[in-house]
Amino acid sequence: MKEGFRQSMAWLHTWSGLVVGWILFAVFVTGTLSYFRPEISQWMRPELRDAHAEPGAVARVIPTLQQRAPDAQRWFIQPPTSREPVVRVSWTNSVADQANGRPRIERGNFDATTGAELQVRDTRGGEFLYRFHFELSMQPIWGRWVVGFCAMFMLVALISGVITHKKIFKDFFTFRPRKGQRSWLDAHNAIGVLALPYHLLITYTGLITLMFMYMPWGVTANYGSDTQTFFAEALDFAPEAAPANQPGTLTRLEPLLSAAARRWEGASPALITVHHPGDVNSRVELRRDHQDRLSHATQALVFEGVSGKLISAAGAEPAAAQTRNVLYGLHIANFSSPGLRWLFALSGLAGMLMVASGLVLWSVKRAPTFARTGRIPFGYRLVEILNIGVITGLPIAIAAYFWANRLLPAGLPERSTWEIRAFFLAWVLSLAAALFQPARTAWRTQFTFAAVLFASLPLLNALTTDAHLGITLAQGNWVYAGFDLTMFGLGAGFALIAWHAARAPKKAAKPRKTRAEPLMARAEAEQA
Amino acid sequence: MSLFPFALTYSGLAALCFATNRSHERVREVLKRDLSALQRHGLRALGWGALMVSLLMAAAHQGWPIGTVEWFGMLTACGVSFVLLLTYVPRLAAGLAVGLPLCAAVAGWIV
Amino acid sequence: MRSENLVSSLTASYRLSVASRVLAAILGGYMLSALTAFALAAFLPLSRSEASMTATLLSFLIYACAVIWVFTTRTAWRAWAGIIAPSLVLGGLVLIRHYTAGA
Repeated sequence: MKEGFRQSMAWLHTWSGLVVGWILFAVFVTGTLSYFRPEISQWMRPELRDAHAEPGAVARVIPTLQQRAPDAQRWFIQPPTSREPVVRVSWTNSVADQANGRPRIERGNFDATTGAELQVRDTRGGEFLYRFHFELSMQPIWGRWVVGFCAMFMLVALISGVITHKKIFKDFFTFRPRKGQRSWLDAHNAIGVLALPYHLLITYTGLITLMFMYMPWGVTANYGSDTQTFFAEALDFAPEAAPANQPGTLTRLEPLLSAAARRWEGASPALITVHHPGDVNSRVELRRDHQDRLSHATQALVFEGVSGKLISAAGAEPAAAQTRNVLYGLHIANFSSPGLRWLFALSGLAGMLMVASGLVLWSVKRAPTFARTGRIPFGYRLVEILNIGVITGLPIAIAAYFWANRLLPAGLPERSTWEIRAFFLAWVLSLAAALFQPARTAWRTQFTFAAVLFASLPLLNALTTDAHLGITLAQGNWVYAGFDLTMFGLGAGFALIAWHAARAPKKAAKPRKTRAEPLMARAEAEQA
Repeated sequence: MSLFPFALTYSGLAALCFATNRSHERVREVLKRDLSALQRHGLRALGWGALMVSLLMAAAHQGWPIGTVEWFGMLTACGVSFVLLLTYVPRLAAGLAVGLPLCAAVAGWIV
Repeated sequence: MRSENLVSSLTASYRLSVASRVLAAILGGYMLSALTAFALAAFLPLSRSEASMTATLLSFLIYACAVIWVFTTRTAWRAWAGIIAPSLVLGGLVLIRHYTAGA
């Protein structure tokens, strides 16, 4: 009975992992990169090399905004931080000027010292990778459903993987290199187990971040369609105030920010939302920065926009909401401590290696059978091509995105879209390369190409901008210097993998005996 | 994060590995002969003890929520490092288990 | 799953059985966890917002367990039974509450 149970779990683990493995790999890669979204966005805007966060930046931006976006429905203002020392603002205008009726989101970067709008190259920066992580560059609703679906598969794969792993603590430390399939299984197990708390946490909390979309029924049971009230009660989302359509002057923000700092023990807001800025019914909503805490609770304060009077303050957090906020915070991992952030990034790296090694393991396990018969089934070839196309293609695409950022002229219309097109073009070409080369060659050449692209990025940076290592290292500008150095590191890493892939594998010690067994049962037997 | 909890986590994992993996190729290489039951139990206790102390140190430094998260992160980082070292340079892997806490203690004392 | 492994993996009945389990897991599992979320939110002795929050947080764990469980039963029919029976009970409870609580 026990054997059957573990076999079923092995089967479930293999298929739930394989079917969504390629998307999961992309989700892990872009997710891990998103831990450094601010740094990536900064690097992709080298004009901001010397920007630094100044206190009082938000107040300086308001007059500029009043000229730049006077008719906006809301201004979403993100104050500067040490990782991203510019004031980031996005807004929507009341006129819906897009085909599908949804208002177009406009964005701007503003100088923290002067409040003036910054002239930087049009780029989506790290935001593109961050969005890709949970929307896959599809229509938001569809993308989020696909990622959520894959996340559920991942959760199932993790649990079934743990169940099926008989000697989980013994195999904790086992890695036998250069033994073909055995090594891949060891690697997959070791990486999976060593970062298991992280994998389980990140998958579950990932689902939590969009849980009201995936599972609205808990809210429906008690609130019907009135989700606004639920969010107001549970997560202190401020109730909307309709505009009076009469002009009103926005009060000075400094006293509001001071009041917030007093309430929040000195913490500053992470987001300042001004609802209906020029209207007499405007509201200013301050949401707390949570970099120093695990919880994502924003403890919102809402002030009247014209008078500056405090209307509402978030109360004490009930337990379930607190749990949700901590879980949310753990997924976003917006920690101020770089050490902790790098630990998460390392774990994210483990996650992508776990997914990748699982995908490769599937191929490696079945390869000997086909070597004998000489006939390669379509399914196997498909998996092989997708493996190469995704595992090598995505890094190449990301490098291409950074390359495009440095090479595309600043004045190019729709420049940010062209950077994204470069990303996808590079990915498609990688898939094509996987299609038209034999597998072994493809792995080697693709990884080599990735190594070259990444390692030469700092050089490209030096040739095209002033924000290169020669200057940034001397300045101690770790955002820019760290990025360049990481690119070197990635290049070296890919070179190492390419070199490894180029070595001829050791021949299996004993030739496999032919057995008239179904493929799956045999695979399960070898798993146990 | 100070280095001592890191060192302790590494040593703890190493101790647990050597205590529980009699048939592991590399473990046998380093130890050359089987440990007695008493030695195994002792090593296991030391290993768990080291892990617990590193958790307590992390929690003391950053509070329980962030400290626990940090601890899991250290487990992963040390685990991966140890496994790689054990596979390719097993004696170094074992030596670090003793050496790292000593170095970290000395460094912490000096600085 | 056990009895199915004894047969050659590519027969039509095996494929059908696997497909049936996959449906039970993905669709049936979602239905069961959605109903559980609804019922938990309705019946947990907490404030409205707390109950809804708790129910939603738990629903994904229930979904994962349901999916795992579907692949451990002896036959696909049992898998479906294990999904449908609790769903009926939960659905019933919810309907009773709806009608006794008024509009």
